[in-house]
Amino acid sequence: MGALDPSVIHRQTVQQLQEVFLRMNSPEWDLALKEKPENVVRAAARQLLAVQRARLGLENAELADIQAKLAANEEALEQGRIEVRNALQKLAQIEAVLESVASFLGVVSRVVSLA
Amino acid sequence: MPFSRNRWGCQASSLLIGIALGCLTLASCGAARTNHFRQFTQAGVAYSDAVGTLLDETGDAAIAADSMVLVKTRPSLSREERQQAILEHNQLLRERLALLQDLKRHARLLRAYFEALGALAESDAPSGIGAASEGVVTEMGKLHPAIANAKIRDVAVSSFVGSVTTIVVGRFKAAALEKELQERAPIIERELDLQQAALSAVARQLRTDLQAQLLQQESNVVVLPYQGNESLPAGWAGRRREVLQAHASLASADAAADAARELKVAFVALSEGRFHLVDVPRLIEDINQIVTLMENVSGQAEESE
Repeated sequence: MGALDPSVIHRQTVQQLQEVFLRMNSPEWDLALKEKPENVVRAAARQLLAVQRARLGLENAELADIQAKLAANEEALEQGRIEVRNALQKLAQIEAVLESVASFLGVVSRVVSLA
Repeated sequence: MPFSRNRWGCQASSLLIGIALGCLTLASCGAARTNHFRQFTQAGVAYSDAVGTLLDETGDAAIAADSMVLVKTRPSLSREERQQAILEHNQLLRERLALLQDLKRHARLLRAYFEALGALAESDAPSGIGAASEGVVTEMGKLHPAIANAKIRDVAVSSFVGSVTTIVVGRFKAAALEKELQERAPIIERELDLQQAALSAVARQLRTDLQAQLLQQESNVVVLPYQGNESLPAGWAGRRREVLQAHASLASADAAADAARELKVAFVALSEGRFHLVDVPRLIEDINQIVTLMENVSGQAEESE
């Protein structure tokens, strides 16, 4: 049996913590705690905070990992945007040159017809 | 030699028909392909916009769920424990908000890329260039009547020069889009895979934060009052209905990841020269459902406080 991919283990751990967190906020959990002694209620509160902290930390790590990979794409994306914009400018330049040539020819034709 | 002239005339006319048909084929293929690009880039821009809104909502949901936990556990903690908890949780949430901001900034960059691609696909420069070249021929005609009167068979040059130029420039536009696709395809494909991974993670977090709030509302305003000996508060049945119905809407949290997946499928189709319709309004509607759900959850939380 091959070793599990660390990112898969990480994701599964996050999912497990999310499930525990939901269980500890459910009506069933609150009902079960209602009749328990003070020390159990206190321990449950500390556990809930610990689960929430672990969940926030691991979820942040998961997002940071993806964000780092996305950031590695940014230079290529920006380069693509510049090249596409340049292609668009080339199209616009052709139009501008043709318009100015037509306008220039209009002037020349008036001069030629006057001559 | 009349016979020879006729034969030349037939060959010239066949050649003209061939050129005309070729131009029409090129124009229709190029136009269809450019439309695919346009449709894809519109979906990309719409997706990037919706992701920005979703990331804002995700941050709000994370803070709301964490506050709920802090409030719930506060009576059971010592002063030192409360101090430690609030500082640590604030720090973790600051990190979360910074990460969501980074993802949002990246979504804006992706949007700028799609926008540039869309501007090229939607550029009306080819038709403008066609009109401009017609103008050149007209002006040249004034200089030299032979140009204005020039004909191929019985068709005046000035009558078709504009449309041929449009087709040629249209092909240039399509070629520029194809070049971009070839050069950037692996990056965009990887980008869309990462978007899907990011939004799956964000959707799971958002769903957990919203579900936890709904469960607490169910506990506080529905289950515990009913289980207790006190008389039920006014409007109990209505709030019960709202909370239970909101649970059913939680599935919409996955819409963003579905939208990223759909965009990737459309991109692969575009790369392979196939057409895949991306239903942009439906994608946006799905993502916006989450915003509606968030508003419902926040509204109920305020009512139960």
